[in-house]
Amino acid sequence: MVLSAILLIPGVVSLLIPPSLTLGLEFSSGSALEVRFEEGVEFTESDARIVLESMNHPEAIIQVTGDNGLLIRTDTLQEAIGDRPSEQSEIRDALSEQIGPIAPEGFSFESVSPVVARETVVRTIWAAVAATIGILIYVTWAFRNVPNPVRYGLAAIVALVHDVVIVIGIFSILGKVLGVEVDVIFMVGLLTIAGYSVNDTIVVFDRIRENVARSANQDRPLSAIVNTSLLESMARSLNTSLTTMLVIVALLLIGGATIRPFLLVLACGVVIGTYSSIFVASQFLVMWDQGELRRLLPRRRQAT
Amino acid sequence: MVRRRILRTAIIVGILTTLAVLALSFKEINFLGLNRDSDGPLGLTLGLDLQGGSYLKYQARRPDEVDVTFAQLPQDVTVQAVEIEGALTGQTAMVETVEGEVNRFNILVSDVAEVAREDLEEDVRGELETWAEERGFTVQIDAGLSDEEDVQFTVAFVPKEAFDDGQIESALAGIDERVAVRTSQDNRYSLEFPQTRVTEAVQAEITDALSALAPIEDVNVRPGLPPTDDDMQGVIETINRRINALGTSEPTIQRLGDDKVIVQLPGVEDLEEAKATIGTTAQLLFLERTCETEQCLEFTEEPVGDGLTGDDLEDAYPDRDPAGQPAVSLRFDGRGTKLFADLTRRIQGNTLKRIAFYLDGEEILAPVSRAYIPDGRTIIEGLFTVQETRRIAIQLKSGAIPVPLTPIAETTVDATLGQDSLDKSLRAGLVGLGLVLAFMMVYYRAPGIVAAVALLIYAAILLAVFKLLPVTLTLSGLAGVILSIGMAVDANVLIFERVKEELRTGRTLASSMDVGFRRAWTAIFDGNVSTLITCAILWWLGSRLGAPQVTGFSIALGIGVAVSMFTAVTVSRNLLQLMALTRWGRNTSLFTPEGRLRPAGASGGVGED
Repeated sequence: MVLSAILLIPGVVSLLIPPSLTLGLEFSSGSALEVRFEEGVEFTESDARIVLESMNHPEAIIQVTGDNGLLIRTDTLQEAIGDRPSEQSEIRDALSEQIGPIAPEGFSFESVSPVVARETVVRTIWAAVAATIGILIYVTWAFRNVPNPVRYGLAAIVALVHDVVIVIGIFSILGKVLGVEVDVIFMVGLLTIAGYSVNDTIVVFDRIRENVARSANQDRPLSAIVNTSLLESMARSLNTSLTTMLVIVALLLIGGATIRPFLLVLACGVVIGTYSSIFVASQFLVMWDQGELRRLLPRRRQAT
Repeated sequence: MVRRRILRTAIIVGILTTLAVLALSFKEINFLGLNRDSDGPLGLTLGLDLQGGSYLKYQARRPDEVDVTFAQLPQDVTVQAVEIEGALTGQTAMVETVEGEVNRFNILVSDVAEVAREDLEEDVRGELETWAEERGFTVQIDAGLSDEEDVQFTVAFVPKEAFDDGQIESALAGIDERVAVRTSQDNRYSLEFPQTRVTEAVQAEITDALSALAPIEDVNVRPGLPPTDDDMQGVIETINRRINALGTSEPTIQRLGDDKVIVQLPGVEDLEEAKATIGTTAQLLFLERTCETEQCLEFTEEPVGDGLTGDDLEDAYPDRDPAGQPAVSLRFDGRGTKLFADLTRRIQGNTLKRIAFYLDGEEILAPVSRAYIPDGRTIIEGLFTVQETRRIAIQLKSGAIPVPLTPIAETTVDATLGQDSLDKSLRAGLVGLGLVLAFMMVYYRAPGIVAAVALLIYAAILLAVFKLLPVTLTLSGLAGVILSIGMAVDANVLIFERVKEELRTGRTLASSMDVGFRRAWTAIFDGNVSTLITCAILWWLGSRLGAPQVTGFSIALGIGVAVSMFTAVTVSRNLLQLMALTRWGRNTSLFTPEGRLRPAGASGGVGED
């Protein structure tokens, strides 16, 4: 549990310090322009900044990208009015005039209005809530033959929340340090981790359930049952995580650059998910059973 | 008996695998109505981020409306009824103000002889106009209700400085070419902007432009309503029609939510060309068609007069024909009326002649002309539904996309970049798969080989399903597939661990497998179902947000998990059982990582060698 605390605290702290997360375009609003110049065109970030300031966008955030290009974030750009062209094409023209010719397919933009951005945030939160409830219901139902099935569901959720918070915390820190953005793909990654973590946790719980059934007439304390179950399923958990990690790492190292952030989310999730299934979810069950959750009451030891 | 069952299942598995491999090896499949033909590897349909192409996202909204009120002009005077009575020197008239209105009156002239009526109107008009001119007004006169003896007029005085619609429209043409005055009353004008969103900046421009005409008191912007389903359907159809002209292979045009459209054009890398094609005003063209036979399978066509086009059409609206069926009414302008009259006079009643309506080069109607139509007003009858009449009317009238569109995203994915990503990711996937298989075989030995074979079969079936459904594979979809491979491995691991345990307790191989499988299955099932729940929610989220990445991933993962459950039940289990039947099955040490076990009967402890 101490380890959990160590993992959790930096993340939570980072989340509490604004901006808690470096939000991607879909969640904040505004426009994002991606420009790629032709080979041989030389420029610096300040060149671009001058251009943008002259176009009335001093707030622009400019990043130079690896393939001779720029990533520009601004407030929502003006669309075309009658004969007058849209702001993004004006900026495009200005950039190509003042800096250099833009590669043939090297210009793309995306605009998200504040309304849509807010909608996206709301929808994503709903999705998360729905997933949580869905899983809770399902686990409770699947474990209905065990005493206190709701506990299992809640324990799974606790492990899940634990994982998610840690991962979000990590990305909050990364956002501050490396400017890594939280976008829709990140959400996908998170929800995937959710599914995966629960999957993992359930497998462990399945073993616990079986052992509980087996020792129904033996009066073994839950903590002991859980211990045995964990030992028994340890090999499987580690193996599965290992194989999945093998694939993810292969993709990370050799695969295309576009899905790297996504894979990073998954990788963190797999590791932490496995950890949480073993060290958090089961702990939670035992603690509940032993009444440790009522903080004020002293620990009750059961006779072994 | 058990043996036979095992063998039978094995045969089924074999057939499935062969089918899957067959499906994958042919690029084109044309079988029992199933038609799949794609350019991707193995004939799979690739998404934009793997194939390269253009991605455009538009938002549709009905035109914004602006109410402009010009300030009351200083010389604005209220005309009194008595003044008018005084102005009408020639006759005895009673003038009263129309209730609730300013400068609007009803004039009643009594005891008018029949013969004198025409003159009366002229006189009244003349007198009022002269009088109004001097005062700085223009006057509008409408003949009102009249009976045998009395004649009534309704008169409105409008301050001279007020404008006609044309003036306002040309003042604003710079902002939106198709701006139109919808209604006007006194100094209040209601304007519609079909092509431009009236943002704050635009509002300022409107105020500037109109202030040049006269001082403005108020400008009120009413943002356009979201489009209706009919509107969106018209939008999608129009875009569809225009994109077809580009000749793209497999374009995707999707409606997103209530008011957005996503257009994906694989292979089209000139974004500007794509945008231009979508954005043009359509061409509505009328041609005179001469048919060879009544069926009109072959025909020749020629223009009407020196060309009858959509420009000559003044209005088109949904209507009902005399029989009460849905129909479309047309009204041509002056020039159009003449051409149309000529045409119909010549071809009326001739069933070998048609009037062909072409929109953007595509024929939408080709009715026969039943009568000579001299006044440019006609109705098109056909077996239309009410919706169709609405749509056709919109298309004919505006000729353009029914609801103005604003681009909110555009990206080009470079084909080479896409190809690069694809190659790299495929390679990485294969490497990963290879590593996993190697690990499994080393650690689990004999069952590991089973796992390897099972996984390969799984991959084949999965890809075949993707190809046949078809599922468009995006980069994140690929990630989903790879993740589901991980879960398929997981299922196998669960089975093997269980079998190993059962073996350790001293069961025979056959019964260990049986029990092991059964016990493992609950865990597999529960775990996978929770993943599927997550996939379903992800898919919902992705569709609502219009993020093909998200939906692609969720579909890929969902199908992957489903297929893996299937292969775990049939393939893995079956292969294991097959193995147990062979002579390898005698040597249980092959089935556990630890090597030799103590034979059955000894204490249930683990035996290590």
